[in-house]
Amino acid sequence: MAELQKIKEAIMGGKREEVSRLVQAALTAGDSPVEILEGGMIPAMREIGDKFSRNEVYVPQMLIAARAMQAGLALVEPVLAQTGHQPLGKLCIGTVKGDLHDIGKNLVAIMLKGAGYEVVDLGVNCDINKYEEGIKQGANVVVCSALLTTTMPYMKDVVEHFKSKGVKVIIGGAPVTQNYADQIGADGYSEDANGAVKLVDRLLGKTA
Amino acid sequence: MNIIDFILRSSETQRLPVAVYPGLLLSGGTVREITSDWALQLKAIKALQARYKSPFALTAMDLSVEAENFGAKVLFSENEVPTIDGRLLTNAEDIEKIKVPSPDKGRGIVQIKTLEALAKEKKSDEFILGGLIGPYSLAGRLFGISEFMEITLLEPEAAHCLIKKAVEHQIKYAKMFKEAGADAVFMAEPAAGLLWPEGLRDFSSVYVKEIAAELEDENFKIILHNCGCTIEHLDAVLASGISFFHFGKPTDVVKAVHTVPDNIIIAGNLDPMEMFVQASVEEMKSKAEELLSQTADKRNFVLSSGCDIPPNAKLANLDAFYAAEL
Repeated sequence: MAELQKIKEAIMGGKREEVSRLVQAALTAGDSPVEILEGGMIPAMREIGDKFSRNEVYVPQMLIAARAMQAGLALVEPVLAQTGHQPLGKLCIGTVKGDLHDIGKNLVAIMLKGAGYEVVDLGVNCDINKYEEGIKQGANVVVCSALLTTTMPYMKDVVEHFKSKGVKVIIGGAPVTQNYADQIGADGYSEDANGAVKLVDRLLGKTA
Repeated sequence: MNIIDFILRSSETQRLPVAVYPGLLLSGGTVREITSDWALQLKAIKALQARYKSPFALTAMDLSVEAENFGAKVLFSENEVPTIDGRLLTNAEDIEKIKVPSPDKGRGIVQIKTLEALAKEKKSDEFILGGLIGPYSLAGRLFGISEFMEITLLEPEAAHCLIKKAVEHQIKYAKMFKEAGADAVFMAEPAAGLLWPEGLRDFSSVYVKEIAAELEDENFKIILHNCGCTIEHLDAVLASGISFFHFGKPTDVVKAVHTVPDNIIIAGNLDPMEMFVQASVEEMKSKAEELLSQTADKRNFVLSSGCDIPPNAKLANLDAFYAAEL
């Protein structure tokens, strides 16, 4: 338990090398990778997300925590794969067609991954076919991001395309609003990365 | 009279939307054209001036100009504001090596010439503002915004080094606006709003203060725009020591204007997309009037958009913004 707490604190502090060292030591000692993930790493990202929502930490702290989380995941995931451990759910994420911005998209992807979801990152400039690739890989939620007012309308096409297929589509990005999400019939909207995690939790009926 | 005294002595709340691109709806043309041709930009600004008779004219917020001048690659499209593609700098060594270019080359000249033309024709009680980027945000555009935020925490010396180079460039660029006849520059520092309050103070406000010390005088002022910060950042933003702040949607501007001294101007913050693009005329008018009502006791409030209004805004909503009454 003490080691899990140390891993959690190291992730929240953005201490990438320390996270690698602690996670490797725990794995070498025979600790369960599921326990490391669910008892130390995921709670760290959930807590930092909550602190972000309360203005106790800001984007830079989230970014370095996410990098530290990734360092830990790189060690835990190969071991987890051998145990048959299942993520909370699988999503695909991408910035919409015509839009090459990825900061917000990356932050949401990192937070979702940190919260225990498997994320297929489709990158930027995603058309419907690209999102379909994510669905083919097993995702059951599409996460759409846009920064530009001229690319945002493509979200409507994505929503309409997947509505008939029973795939949920959630949206976000600087120009996007809840009103816009309602107008185009999206299944959800979040104004920040932590909110996106809570939204997905609600949509999929999950908690970490 | 300078822009701050003009606002403080006005009998009614002034309006200063960050709007140049909607001028294309009146003048014709594309975003790409007005960010590369000063005469076309001037035409769009003058079309807005003719319609709204505003005492303020602002050059286009083209926040890729300075990074492009350093060597960053810029992506252009017909109807989106130019944006930086990729990262010019990726490590502390790159930061150390990069030389500060002279701002009198490249597309910055488009903004300067537009402003010069506006200044030549300005009447008394009209104020011409040049748009430029703030030092932290410029550094972020050169290094990659998220990567720069990371090194702000992890390698603060490298971050300071790059910001100092950005400051050097922006002092020269702002001086060009001043010499061309600007009454103020509208300095957009959005990335700094993503920092924690002390970080905003140490990595942005300190440098804005340095720029102001070089440039501000009785007739030339700096307006600091930060559309990312919240009311929690207010003290850190005020540490810049200037007197005119422009905030975006995340900031409670009503609280801000009731917190700051009466000689500090607070402007904001109707959301560009939600209100100027998506809202109905009635919603726009109602929201503007609500803000006017909440700040009616404050002469140091300026009604504005919370950020740059996009080219696909509705002119009818801009009309409603100006028509809103207390």
